[in-house]
Amino acid sequence: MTRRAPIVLVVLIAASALLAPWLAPHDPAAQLDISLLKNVAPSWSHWLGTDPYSRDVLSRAIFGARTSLSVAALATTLALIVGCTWGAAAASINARLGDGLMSMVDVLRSTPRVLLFLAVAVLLGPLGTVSLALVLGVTAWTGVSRLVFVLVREINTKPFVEAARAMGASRWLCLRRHVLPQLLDPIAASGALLLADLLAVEAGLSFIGLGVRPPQASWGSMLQDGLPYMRSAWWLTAVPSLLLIVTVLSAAAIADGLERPRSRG
Amino acid sequence: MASFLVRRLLHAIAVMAVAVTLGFALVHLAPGDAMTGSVTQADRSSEARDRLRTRAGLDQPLTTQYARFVRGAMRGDLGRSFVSDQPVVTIVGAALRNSLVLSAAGLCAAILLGLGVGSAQGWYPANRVWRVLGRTLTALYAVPEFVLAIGLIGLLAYGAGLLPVGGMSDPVTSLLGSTSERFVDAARHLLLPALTLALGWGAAVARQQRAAIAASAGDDFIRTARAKGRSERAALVSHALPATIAPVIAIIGLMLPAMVGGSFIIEVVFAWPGLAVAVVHAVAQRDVPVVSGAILVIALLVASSSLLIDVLIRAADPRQRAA
Repeated sequence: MTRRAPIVLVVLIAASALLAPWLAPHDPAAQLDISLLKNVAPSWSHWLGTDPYSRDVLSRAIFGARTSLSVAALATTLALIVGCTWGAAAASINARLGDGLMSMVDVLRSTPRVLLFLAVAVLLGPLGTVSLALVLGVTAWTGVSRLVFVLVREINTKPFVEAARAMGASRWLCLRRHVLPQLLDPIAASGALLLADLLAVEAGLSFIGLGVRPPQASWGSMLQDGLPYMRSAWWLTAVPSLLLIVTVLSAAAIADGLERPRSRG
Repeated sequence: MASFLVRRLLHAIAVMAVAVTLGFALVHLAPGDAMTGSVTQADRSSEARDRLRTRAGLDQPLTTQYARFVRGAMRGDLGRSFVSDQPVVTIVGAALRNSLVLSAAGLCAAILLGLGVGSAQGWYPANRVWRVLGRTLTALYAVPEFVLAIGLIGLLAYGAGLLPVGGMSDPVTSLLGSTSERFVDAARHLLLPALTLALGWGAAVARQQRAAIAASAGDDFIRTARAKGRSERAALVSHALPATIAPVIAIIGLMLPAMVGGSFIIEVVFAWPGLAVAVVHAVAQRDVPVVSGAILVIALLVASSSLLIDVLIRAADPRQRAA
């Protein structure tokens, strides 16, 4: 795989997610003809076939990309913001308090996040795009905050930061002008990894019925609908599986590419 | 060692406190109250519901209820299911046993697979077979576990027809089969889900192991072993390998929380009658005590095994003991 391929793939999928209403041939939730169009194999009129509720799989895949990507992207953004703030704050304030903040993070990290998903699921039932992204983001920021914490502490001891401090620059100014610019690459890399991870988590949650509310299409909920028909209607599981694999692998490859320049330097 | 143990215990207690509070909050944040939320309660008369509410203690102040909940949890009393009225401990316990069987099988296979492929790949970097195997594992690691599971079901269960699609046993065999037939049947049902878990987890172990072995290949103690005239294989097995045991245990410790989530979904895919299936079922019926009980049990399991792992690392690595 060339270095550009994953970026092109992700951009393509993201573009079709954005343009879903114009690209998709049908309404993703419309049951076209429940008696005649149930589990029809791919053909010219339905490129990727239809599902057990006679919905068009191509349309669901495109709208599913919209759900899956927007949930993962929103959650990643939220996790990056919270994680960077928490980590940078813990590394910048006095050492004991900072360690205290980070041990809270460690406790959260060693609590399986599936527990929180369960709690939310039983309290609120299936979720919409935004609330699902919130729940995912809230559980995903701890890794980033660890990374930022370690890096900021490390850079804070470097001579150029100490020099700036000695010249009278405030902690905040140092953080903004000298420390954060050095962190952009690793943060971007962990963001891409997080995106890949959260795509998988969202799909998994929707797959076991704790994610988006049906009939909203998500790659995970498409897999859930398709699994019982795997023997007779392979396209129902093959399409979302392939999309998930391609997107997750591409995001991971992008993360890998972002990490490399740093280790070279 | 003592201060380390105390610190670790405090950490484990904090994790448990988070889980207990989450489990408790669950019962009491549910819209309306937990009684009106559950499906099967809807058709009961209001007096019957009040009686149930009194029995579950929902009419008392929150602090009293919290204290009761914690005390009950410590004694192993997690309340009763709103739906079946069975003790939660019974429901969760039976499911937990099945979950543990699957996770243990998956973990053992993952360790064998990861140590084997990772060591071989790190020790013989020029060997193409190991390199391809290692890369395949890494690629599989990036694929979401349940997608991998669906792929394996498609290939081995539906496609080749070799293995059962899901469940833990064949109903006919489990009723009529002899002991050995039942054992074979159970093993056949276990194989595919355990393999899925082993591939995902094994890849993480393999990556760690390859790096560790490759790094130690140039170390003095390995050079000494070679200079003494030990064979390549002996240098790997009795010198390089033992030195990498502690980091492998550490990796497993770090993976624990994620492993719970991973095996959770795998259980659902394969309809394995473990905690995941029980909990997803309970969520659908809004059977709050079962869900909060399962949350407690999972958290206890994770907290205690990560405690155990940290102690094991100390035991496996003399350098850590001295520190």
